[in-house]
Amino acid sequence: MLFHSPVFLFLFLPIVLVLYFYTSKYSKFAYEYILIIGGIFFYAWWNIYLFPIIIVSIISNFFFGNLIRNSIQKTFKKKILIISIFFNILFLAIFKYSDFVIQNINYLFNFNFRMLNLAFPLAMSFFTFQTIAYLVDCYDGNIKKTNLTQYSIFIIFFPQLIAGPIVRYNYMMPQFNDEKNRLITLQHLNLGLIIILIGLFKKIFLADNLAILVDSGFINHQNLEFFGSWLTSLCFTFQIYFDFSGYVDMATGIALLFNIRLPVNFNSPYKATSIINFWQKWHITLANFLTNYIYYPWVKSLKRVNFLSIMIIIFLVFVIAGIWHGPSWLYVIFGSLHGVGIIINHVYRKLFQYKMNKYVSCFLTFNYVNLTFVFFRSENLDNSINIIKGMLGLNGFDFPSYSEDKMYIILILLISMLISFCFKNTYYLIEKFKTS
Amino acid sequence: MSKINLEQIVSIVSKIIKINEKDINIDSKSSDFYKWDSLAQVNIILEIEKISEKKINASKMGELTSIKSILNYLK
Repeated sequence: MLFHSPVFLFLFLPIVLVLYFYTSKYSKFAYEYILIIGGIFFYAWWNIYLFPIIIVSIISNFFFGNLIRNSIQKTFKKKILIISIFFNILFLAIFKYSDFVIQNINYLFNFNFRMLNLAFPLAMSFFTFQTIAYLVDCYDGNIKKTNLTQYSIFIIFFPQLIAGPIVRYNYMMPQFNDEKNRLITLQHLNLGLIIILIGLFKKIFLADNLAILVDSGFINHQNLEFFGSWLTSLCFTFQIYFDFSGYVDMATGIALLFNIRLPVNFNSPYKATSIINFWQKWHITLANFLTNYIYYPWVKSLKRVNFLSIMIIIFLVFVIAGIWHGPSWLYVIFGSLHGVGIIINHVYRKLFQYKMNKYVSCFLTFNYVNLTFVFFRSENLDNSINIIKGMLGLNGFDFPSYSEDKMYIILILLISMLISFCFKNTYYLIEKFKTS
Repeated sequence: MSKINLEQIVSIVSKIIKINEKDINIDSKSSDFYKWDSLAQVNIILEIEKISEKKINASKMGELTSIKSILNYLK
């Protein structure tokens, strides 16, 4: 059940919304059960046989969290934290990466192990990171009080369950526990609906149309020349942004209907003036997770911190970020290129005081990001190399014939560029509303 | 009680992000300065830990991205 499907928009969402506000009038706690049952139903709709996985994850991690919070002995506490994080990563690895590992072992050692072909549980990458953040927060004493229902809502709150943003317990729970948030707020309803419409526009009008040219470009990558390669890569760069940010907008709007404010996840990333700045604006909650729960602890665990060791850690964190996106070496390349980009930024800042012109640095950053997205979208390395060759003019300069009947997509690409580079974003709209 | 005060925090931040102390005040935050990035944040926290003799949890580092939040944390 996707946010833009009729069954979600016209049946599921209105029912849960009405029940949420209606039952809150009569019971202080009914809203919790509405949200949990709603979340389970939403999750199980996709695959009823896999929904027990999220239930097992919730119950076991709640147990781990309690064990960590209630332990007095620091070494025991740390052991439980490590074990629980290990199990979460193992759980994710089994479902998401086992075939990738088998494939690589078969290739490297000439074995013939059979693939497991396990179905991948929806949203597992997201709720695994959210769970790890919860366990670390328990360890650091940031979470004082919780119970199974509260923790379940934190994980299974359906607006942000399948595509984020990745949220922290202490950010979400005070909002759920605030009784004022269980009263219908007309302003939030209006703003929520506007944001849902913006998200639908981004997803259905922009991203889905751009996808037509992207798909045909990546299928015909061998015939792509200069213009075709640039069109394909640019269309994908805007498709992925409007697809993902559109979906997050819908999540933000839906959550706002429940008077819940989700953290900002995209803040005009293509206006970024460096790769460092790009990750302050693109998938912000993932970048925050990587920074707070991998990068900082890793750096702090070093006996001697120096520039080189930090750069190595940054690179490795981005390799992890890459592989998190999916079981493919192309994602590793994508992550590595971003790691290298950030290292270049840091080296430049260390060596030169000169700050580059804003428009030049934005142009350079955008083009670097555009290049990395070629690897993100490609089916294989040949595919990426062909498109990059085309972008460099190594495959000729003819205008591609396939796009003649798709000229309207070029217009959509121009609209996408105009929106991304010249317009303010949804986050600005929410902030403006907050201050008005 | 912490061994560090506002002036010292401003001085540390100023030294690490190479910005004049006069341009930093209690309301300054990381997003105000492009050089106050995650690398600078690590150096700021390590320096503050050294001077204040207080250990800062890694999970708190991401929250201490303004002069005020650092000052409040060290109180």
